[in-house]
Amino acid sequence: MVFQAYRGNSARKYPNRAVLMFCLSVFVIPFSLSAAEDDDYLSALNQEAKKVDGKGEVSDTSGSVVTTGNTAVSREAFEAELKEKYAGSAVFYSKLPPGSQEEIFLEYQDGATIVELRKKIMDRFLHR
Amino acid sequence: MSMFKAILAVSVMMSVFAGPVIAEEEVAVGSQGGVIPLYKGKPFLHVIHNGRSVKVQRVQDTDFELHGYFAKTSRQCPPFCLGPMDVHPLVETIGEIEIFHFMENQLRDGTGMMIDARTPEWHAKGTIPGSVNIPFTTLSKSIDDLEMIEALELFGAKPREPVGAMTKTLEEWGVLKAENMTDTWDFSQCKELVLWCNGPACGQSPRAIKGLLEVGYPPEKLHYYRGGMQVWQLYGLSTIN
Repeated sequence: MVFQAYRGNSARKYPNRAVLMFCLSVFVIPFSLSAAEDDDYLSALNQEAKKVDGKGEVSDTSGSVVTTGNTAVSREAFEAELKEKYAGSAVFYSKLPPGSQEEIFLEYQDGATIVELRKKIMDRFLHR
Repeated sequence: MSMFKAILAVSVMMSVFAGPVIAEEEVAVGSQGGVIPLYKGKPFLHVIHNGRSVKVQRVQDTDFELHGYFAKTSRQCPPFCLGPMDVHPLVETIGEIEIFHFMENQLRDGTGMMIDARTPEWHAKGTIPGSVNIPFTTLSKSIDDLEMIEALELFGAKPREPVGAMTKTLEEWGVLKAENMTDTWDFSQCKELVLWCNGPACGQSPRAIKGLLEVGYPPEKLHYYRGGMQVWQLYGLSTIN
């Protein structure tokens, strides 16, 4: 009796509509909820991916180059220039551990001359 | 007697001189003394990534500290909650050493693949060398979806001809070999896969593994690298863009 009262007059008048609503609630709504959850997860993933800027993380295939802070682009330019103009020094520089490379790059940023930098590269390479 | 004393004296002297040499070898590790290896006795290895050889090694600077996204301790949970160690009881969870062995064996001889199961946005920002990006969104699709079919074929699975009732019965009775086969796919020659994503709080590779298991991929051919990108970077291992 309670169920009958709950269904109301419209269900009595249109029994097919009630069946249709039942089918919708059983089959369609769970799928749409699941799809909505997937969408939410993907959306959260995309938002999170935007937070990865690649700075300060381990990078590059050789494992010898590590970018830190906001200096990645300038450092690439520095290394490209070194390779172009001082190929020998660039080879020794490339063989240095990341910490030494970072040190040399920071000195370059502080305005050290190329002579000083090349000497520093050799000093670090020869552990002097 | 004097002969015995002489031998004793020589051996004592040898042990005195040999001691420091061994000690020096033991401390000769690190940025000042030598190479920080992947593990003891293995300084580095090479894998093929996008057709070129890539060196995998650890950062050689013992003072290097990780910064940026993967140095974060916490992320919003849900959705980025810590997951269990195992995705499935029959899927092996592995660590870095197993990855190195996989790179040098299955990956090199073509019987295995490393799958970066993250969405392309993540993959583009750096990946583990040797990995192929097949997002979990693809590997969660149904068996008759074109993307899933392409992925399965890439993994070495083969679509089966329609199986008749007789064949099916013989397979059920064990007369015909049906190991690693479903009604529609033959997984007997499929590759071993290592699936990974961003780390223990990432659900992307677990979803991909569950999707593959649902379509019948043999669990013993799946491996879950739970550490993912976060632990890989924590140990200063090479990544590639």
